[in-house]
Amino acid sequence: MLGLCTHAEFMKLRHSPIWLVYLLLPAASCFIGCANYTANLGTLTPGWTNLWTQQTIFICYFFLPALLGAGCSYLWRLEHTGSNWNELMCSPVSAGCIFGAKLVTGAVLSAVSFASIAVFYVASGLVLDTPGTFPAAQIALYLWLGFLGSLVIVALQLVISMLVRSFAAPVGIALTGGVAGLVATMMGAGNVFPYSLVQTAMNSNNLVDLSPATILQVAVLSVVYVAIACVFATRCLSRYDIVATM
Amino acid sequence: MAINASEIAVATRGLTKSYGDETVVSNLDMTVPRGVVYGFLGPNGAGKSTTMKMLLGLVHPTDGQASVLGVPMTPDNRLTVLRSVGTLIESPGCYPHLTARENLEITRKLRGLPVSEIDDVLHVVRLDDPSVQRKKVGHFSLGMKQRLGIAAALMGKPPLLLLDEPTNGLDPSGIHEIRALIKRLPQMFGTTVVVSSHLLSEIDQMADHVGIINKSRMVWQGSMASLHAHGKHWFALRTTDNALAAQALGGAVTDGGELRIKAVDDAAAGRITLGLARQGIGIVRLESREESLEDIFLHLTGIEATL
Amino acid sequence: MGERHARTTKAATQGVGGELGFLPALGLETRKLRHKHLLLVAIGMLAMQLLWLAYVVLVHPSDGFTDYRILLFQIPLLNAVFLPLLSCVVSSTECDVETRGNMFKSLLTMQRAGALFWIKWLFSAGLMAAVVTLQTVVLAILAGAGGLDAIPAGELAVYWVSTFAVCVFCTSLAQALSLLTRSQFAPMVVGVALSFFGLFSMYFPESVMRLVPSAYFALLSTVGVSVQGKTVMYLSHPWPWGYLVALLAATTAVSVLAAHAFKRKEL
Repeated sequence: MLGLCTHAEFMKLRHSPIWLVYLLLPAASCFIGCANYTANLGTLTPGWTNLWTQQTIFICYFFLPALLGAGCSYLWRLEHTGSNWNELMCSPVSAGCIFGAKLVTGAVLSAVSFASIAVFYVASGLVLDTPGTFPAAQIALYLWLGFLGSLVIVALQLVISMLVRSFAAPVGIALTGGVAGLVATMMGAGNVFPYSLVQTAMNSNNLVDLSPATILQVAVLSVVYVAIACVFATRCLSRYDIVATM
Repeated sequence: MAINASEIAVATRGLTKSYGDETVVSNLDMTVPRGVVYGFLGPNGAGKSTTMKMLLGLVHPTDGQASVLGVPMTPDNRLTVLRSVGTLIESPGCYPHLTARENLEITRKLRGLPVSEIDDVLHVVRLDDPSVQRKKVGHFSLGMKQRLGIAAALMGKPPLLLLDEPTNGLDPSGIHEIRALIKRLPQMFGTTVVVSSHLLSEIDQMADHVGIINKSRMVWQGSMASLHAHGKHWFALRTTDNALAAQALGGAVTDGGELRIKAVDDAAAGRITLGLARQGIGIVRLESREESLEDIFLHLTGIEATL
Repeated sequence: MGERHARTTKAATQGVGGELGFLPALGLETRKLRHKHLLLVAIGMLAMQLLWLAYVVLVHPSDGFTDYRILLFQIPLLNAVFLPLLSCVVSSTECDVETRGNMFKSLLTMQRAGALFWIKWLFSAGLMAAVVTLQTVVLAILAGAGGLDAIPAGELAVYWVSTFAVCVFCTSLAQALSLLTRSQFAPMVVGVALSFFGLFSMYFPESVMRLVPSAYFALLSTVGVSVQGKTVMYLSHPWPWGYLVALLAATTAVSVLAAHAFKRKEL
C-alpha cells in the first residue's frame, strides 16, 4: 500500500520543475564552494577535507533546510488545492501510508540533493587534482548520516506544511530552524536538536572526525524524530476533521 | 422588429476568441434586451464562460466588439462600466480564511457601497444566521460558497448581472430560491440578468430570452415564447373504439393506443366529443400535448439537449 | 422607467464613487491577510537573526572593545541569509492570497490590473520597511546593551536605506514570479537561492558580488575590515551610492516589466 501511495506521489510530481531545483541548487553550492576553495588555496591546506568543507558548509547550515522546506510545502500544496484533500483522505489507504508516501517522496528529493553534492564533490576533486587519498569511507559516512539527518527536517517540515496551509511561511520556519540548529550546535546541543543533526552529520566544520558515539546518537535520534513526526501526523490525519479548503 | 439601442443591455458583434489554432468563440452576435432574464445556454465547453469573460474584459477578444449598458467596452472605460455590473464567473472566488462578512467587506469597499449592503445581500441569500457568520468561508459547503458568490454579485443592486451557472451546488430549496430571486430582479430593480447554464430545464424556468451557443457559435437567439412557439401542439385521444373514431375524425393519426388530432379550441373540442358520443364512441381520455422543449431544441439546433 | 434608465446610463458611464484610492486599497490588503500571521513569521525570523547577532556581538575580541562598527560589519552577512527569503515569503504570501481564493477574476472587475499590482507592491515594500525599521532600532539597542559606542543616526539612516533597497528588489522579483507563474514554488526557490548566493558571494571579489542582488547588503555597507595578524580593525568608507542607483534601476526594470506582463495576462 505504501508503494502504491508513493507511486501516486511521484505521478503528482510529473512535469514539475522540483527535480531540477533539487539537482541544480546543491550542485551550484558545490560549484561555488569549489571556486572558493580554488581561490583560497594560499590560506587553505589543499586536500579533500577542505574541499568538502568549502562545498558543504553553507548548504547544510541554512539552505538545505530551506530547500527541503520548499519541497515539503510543494508536496502538501497539491492537496490543499480544491477538494483534493477530501479525495485523498477518501482513498482506500491508511493515514499512515498517506504521510509515509509524502515522507518517502521528500526523502527521494533529499537523496537527489545528496547525490548531486556527492557527484559534484568527487568530480570537482578529480578535476582540481586534489592531493591526498580520497576519504571514501568518511565521505560515505557524512553523506549517509547527513541524509538520515535531513529526513528529520523533511518529516518536521511535512508536519508543519500539513498544519500551516501556507506555502511560504513553512519555508521561513525551515530557514529559522536551520539557524536555530547552528546556534544549538554552538551551544553544544548539535547531537540532539532536530535541525542540527544534518549539520553534525555532514561534519562541514571538519575540526575532528565523528566519534562512534556521535554517529550512533545522530542515527538513533534521526530515526526517533522521524518516527515521532510520523505518529503525530498520522494521529492528526486520522482524528481531526478534514477541511479541504482554508 | 428593430430594437432601440437604448433598450439593449449587452450587444456583441462578431465577437471571436482564438487560442492559437483553436477558436473557442466564433463570430458571436449576442443581443440582450434590458430588463429581462437572458438565458445563455450551451453544453460544457461551448464557449459560454469565455464569452462572459470577454464581456468583462478579463479575456481580450481576437476580433469583434462588445458593448455593455450601451457603452462600447474599451480598456479605458472598462472599470467604469463594470461598476454597474455584478458578476459570478465559473466557481465563486473567496478568501477561505475570512468570514463571509469579511469577504463581502472587501467587495463593498472596492465598489464604494454603504455598509448596509452587506446585511441586505446576506439576508437575500440566507447567509445571515449568526452561526454561519462566525464561520470561515473555507468551512462553507459548496452551496454556501455559491450563495456567497451570488451575494457579492448582488451588492449595490447593479443594473446588469452576469451569472455563470448560479444554481451550481445548491440544494433543491436553494435552487428554487435563487431561480425565484433571479426571476424577480427585473421587476424589483429593473435589473437585466444574463444567466449561463448547460441545463435547458433551468433556463426554461428562469429566462425570458435565450441564446444557444454550441461549439463556439451562436445557433439560435430569441424570446422564450418564440422558442416554445416552434413546438408542435396536438390532442391525444383514447376512445372505446379507436378505429371507428379515426374514420369519424378526418386527419386523425393512430399512435399506438391513441389517436392524434390537431389542437383545436374549446368549442371545437366540445363538438368533437359530442360528435363521437352520438356515434356511440365513448371518450376515455382527451389530453392536450406539446412538443417538449428538449425536442424543440433538438429540431432547432440538431444537438442533444443534455450536458 | 425612463428615469431609471437615465440613472443606469449615468452609473455606467461615470461610475459610482470612483475607483478605490491607494490608502484604502492598502488597508484592504491588510484585511485580506487577517489570520495569515504574516507579521508573526516576519518577527520570528527577525528575532532569530537578531539573537544570532546578539550572540556574536557579546563575544568581544577584547575587553574594552567599543567599536559599534562590528555590528554594521556583521549584519550584512546575516541579512544575506535571512532577508531575501523573508522578503520572498512576504511578497509570495501577499500574492498567493488571491491565487488560492481564485479571486483575480472578481477583483479585476473592480480594480485595474495595474493598480492591483502596485498596491500589492507597496504593501510588501511597506511591510519590509517596518521589518528593516525594527531591525535598525534593535541594532541601536544592541550597541548600547553590548557596551559599544552609540551608532550615529546618519549611519543608521544609510544602513536603513541600503537594507531596504535590497529587500524591495527581492519583494519585486518574488511578486513578478508569484503573479506571472501563479505558483509559489518559484518565488520560494528564488528566495532560497538569493539567500544562498548572497552569502556565498561575499567571499568573492566585488566583481562577482555585483552580479548577485542579495550581495548588495554588503556592497552598500560603509564598514570594512582589516585583519593584521590577530587584530581585527573596522574601517569606515564612503557610501558607494552608485550601487544603490544600480539596484534601484534593476528594481524599477523588474517591477515595470512585471506590471506590464500582469496587465496583459488573461484569466
